[in-house]
Amino acid sequence: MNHNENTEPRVYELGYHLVPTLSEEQVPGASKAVRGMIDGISKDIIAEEAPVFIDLAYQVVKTINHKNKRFDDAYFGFIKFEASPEDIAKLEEGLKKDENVLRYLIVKTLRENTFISKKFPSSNAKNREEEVAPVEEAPASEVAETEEEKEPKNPIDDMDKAIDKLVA
Amino acid sequence: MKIKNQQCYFSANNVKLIDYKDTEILKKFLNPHARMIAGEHTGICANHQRQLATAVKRARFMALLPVVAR
Repeated sequence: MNHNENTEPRVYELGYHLVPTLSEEQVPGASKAVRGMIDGISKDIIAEEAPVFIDLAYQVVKTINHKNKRFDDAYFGFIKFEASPEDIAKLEEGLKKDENVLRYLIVKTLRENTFISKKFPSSNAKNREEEVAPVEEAPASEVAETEEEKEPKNPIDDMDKAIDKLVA
Repeated sequence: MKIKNQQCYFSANNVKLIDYKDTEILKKFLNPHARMIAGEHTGICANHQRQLATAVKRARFMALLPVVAR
């Protein structure tokens, strides 16, 4: 890629997979290492998503210590930041050397949020809690409605009793 | 079967750039074998159809979408 055509800073997004052999505790450290590389070249980090464990659509092969290793899942995270094109070349070098990064993709993007679906497929717990909260409220309103429905039944019972009295 | 008189999905939702991470939306425009559906069948405007193709290819590289599904 020729990085010399345009030298003005612009918005990029780095998406990366971390190898699944890392344990849950090691993931923040590995993502911090990636974040550190970006901190070195960029002053403005626009958005960041911590890596989440996802199933990959197909097997990804990575050569580690001259041996091909195959992975079916990975931790996927992304960072949106502003940087100049020359620095992107440096970042790519760093990512290639990082053994914890299974695969990465740097794309040009917009400053605004381009993610229109509500959540990432296997997204973090925060989004799930937000989704669960309205669902909990919904049954409460339904209960209220059912109670309202029950109330009109009572007059009908009264009517039945009144009719019974008349018949008697 | 061509879709007629339907506004482009992405124009209707005011999408400026199609994100490769939006796999749930990208899947709407793939057939069961995970191949892209042609622009004349999807009803998407040409600009967004090109963006969609790029996004699908990026998602495939990142193993978020399959290249082939049998």
